[in-house]
Amino acid sequence: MLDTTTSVPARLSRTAARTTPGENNAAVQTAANGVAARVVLGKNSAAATWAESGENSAAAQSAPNAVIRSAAELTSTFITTSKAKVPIKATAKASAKADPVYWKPQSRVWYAVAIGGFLIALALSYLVPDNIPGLVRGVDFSTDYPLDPTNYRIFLAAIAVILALLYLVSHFFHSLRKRLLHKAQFIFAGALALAIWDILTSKLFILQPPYFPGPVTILDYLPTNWLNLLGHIGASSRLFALGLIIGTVAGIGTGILIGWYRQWFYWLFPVLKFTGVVPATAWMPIATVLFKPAPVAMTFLLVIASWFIISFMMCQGMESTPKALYEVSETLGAKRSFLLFHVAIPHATPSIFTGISMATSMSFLTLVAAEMMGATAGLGYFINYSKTFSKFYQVYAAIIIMFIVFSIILAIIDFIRRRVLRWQKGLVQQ
Amino acid sequence: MSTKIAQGAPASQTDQAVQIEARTLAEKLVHQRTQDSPVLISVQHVTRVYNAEEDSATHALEDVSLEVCTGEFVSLIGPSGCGKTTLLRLIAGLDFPQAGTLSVAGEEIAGPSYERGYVFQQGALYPWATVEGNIATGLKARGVYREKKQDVTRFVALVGLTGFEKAYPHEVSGGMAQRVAIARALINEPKALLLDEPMGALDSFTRIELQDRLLDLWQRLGSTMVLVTHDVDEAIYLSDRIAIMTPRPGRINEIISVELGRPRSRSSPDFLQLRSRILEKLHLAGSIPEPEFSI
Ligand SMILES: Nc1ncnc2c1ncn2[C@@H]1O[C@H](COP(=O)(O)OP(=O)(O)OP(=O)(O)O)[C@@H](O)[C@H]1O
Ligand SMILES: [Mg+2]
Repeated sequence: MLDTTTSVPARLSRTAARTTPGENNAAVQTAANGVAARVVLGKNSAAATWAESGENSAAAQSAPNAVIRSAAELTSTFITTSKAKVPIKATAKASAKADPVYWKPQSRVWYAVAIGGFLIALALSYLVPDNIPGLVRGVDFSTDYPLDPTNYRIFLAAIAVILALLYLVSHFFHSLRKRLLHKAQFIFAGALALAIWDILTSKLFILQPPYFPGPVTILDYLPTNWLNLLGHIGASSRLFALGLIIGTVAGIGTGILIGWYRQWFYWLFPVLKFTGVVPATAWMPIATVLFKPAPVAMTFLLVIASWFIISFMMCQGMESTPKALYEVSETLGAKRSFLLFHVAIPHATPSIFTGISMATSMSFLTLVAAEMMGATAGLGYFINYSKTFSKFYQVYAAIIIMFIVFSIILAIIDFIRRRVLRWQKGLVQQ
Repeated sequence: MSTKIAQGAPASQTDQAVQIEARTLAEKLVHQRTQDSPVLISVQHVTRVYNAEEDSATHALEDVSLEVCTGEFVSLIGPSGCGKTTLLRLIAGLDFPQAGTLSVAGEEIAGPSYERGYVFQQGALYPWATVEGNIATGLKARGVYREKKQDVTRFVALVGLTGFEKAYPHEVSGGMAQRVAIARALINEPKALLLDEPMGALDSFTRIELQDRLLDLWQRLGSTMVLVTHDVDEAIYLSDRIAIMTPRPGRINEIISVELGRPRSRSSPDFLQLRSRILEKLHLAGSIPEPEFSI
């Protein structure tokens, strides 16, 4: 009931505006305002209906205008229809449109189509005949090039099953349901892309190996060599975590020092600015000489990559603290240390997380670049080494793994950020 | 901006005469107290000039004197830019004068202290702390949080925010936010509470409600209040004395004792009479456009 009444003014003013050809806007406005005021005052009481018609007729009298009368009429017809459930549907539609995050049609059909997409890809994998040439650009398919579609087919089927299961589960989680339905079109597009990719590569060989492996090749390769890959993932992750953690701690530390003490700012800020401008990878030749085991040198590079940006953001976050917050704290009896730990640093936390996110990207870039240049393990090294042997499907596999690993890292950071910055929820657009 | 006007229109001789007369009157009134309790806040011949070295110097306060007694409720009223905030900041110890002295309980003001609570015009709550966390700040800052933990609940209740302890500032209404700011200042049990237009941004319903609550707190806790306001009704409803200020340069023109019994009625003849008297004075000061105070 409440919803139906509140939907009145918008609808009415729209209709009223349409009926007037711009000549009596002010009058229409009055009428619309009258209705609006009534709705606000009377919210869900039956009396509201009466109050409204009263106010409307008053408005109609005070403004001798046919349009007003027609507006009033419209309102009264609207009230009768409101009992006939028409506006309820309108409101539902409006609220669905109002969702700013999940704005795609919340349609089960699209979701079915998305699942169907994977089944179609699966069917195509069976139906489209293989057209394996004997030898393409030196790649011997009989020995060297993984082309068993079993894993790919299992993968497609698994995704279809998972999507179906998610749908069932989402009966209990409203927000998951909304998200799934919102993403349905994209999921379908993903399925199509997979199918096309498969047909163009492993089926028809229009895109040819070794540079363009198909999903079949990558998925055939991945599980059989996962131990080897896991070693490389481990090596990269260890370095990455170490570099980022040291960089973050150092960055927050120096950020506090330069943000709070003039002397530190005076001496350290120019140094920091200098190291921030130079890309971390430029230090590589020096780092490898200075720090003997290669992993230490690379950790150093990662620290350089994250240190500057985090301390810079920290310093900035502290410096942008409104003066009023310091002043009000002082009138509450705060000493300087309290101002630092309970005002400046809390105020800087959103900036710290921005800094950490940026540092994560920078570190990842640096890590891969450094590994490609001078390491004996890690995903960057693996890519470089695969390239030398023209095993491009391994390069693709490594890229996919990087994507997954990096997404997980970002998700973890985002999770922590949401936890720490709970107070920001609803304050900023997330 | 005010300085530009001041330079553009030099005060005429008659204006000056009126001002001098008003000043002598004000000085007389400084010593005419409504209560016999001892002086708590003493402001003597204070001058505060912003950007003194530049040509754009602003005489925010010039030779201002004011005494506030213990337990008294004093309002500062006057048009925008007349130095109300400046005076309040001086009393709080957040700013210092070029000339004159300020003291609290006989001691010169050397800086901010929890004994003078301050409520900012915009609230200035910590956005990262909950209602409870904001109110508890004073105790934490002084290092007495452990012993006085239960005070937090008490003050949350005193300002009527029970049930909203865990809400963040952006999740509560403007009126509630101001009540948080008031409770946050009061939890330290300050000798004086300085309020800079705490109700400036509120609608009239919330404003009246908050006025009653402030009055209740004042009577219950027996603290001294200095309130800056734009609103004549608010000043009369709440205060023992009202200091009328005029701009360019900022001065206390006159101090009026409000000899009305409490609780006050906003529509009693005495109230209305005093109201029109003050409005007249403000118009004499030649600075308020009519509609601002018409209801
Ligand atoms: N930090 C500052 N720097 C320079 N001038 C200032 C500063 N603060 C205030 N002023 C000037 O001093 C004068 C008095 O300002 P103040 O803030 O005390 O006025 P107010 O009476 O509180 O006004 P309002 O009612 O609008 O809050 C104004 O002319 C203002 O421009
Ligand atoms: Mg002010």
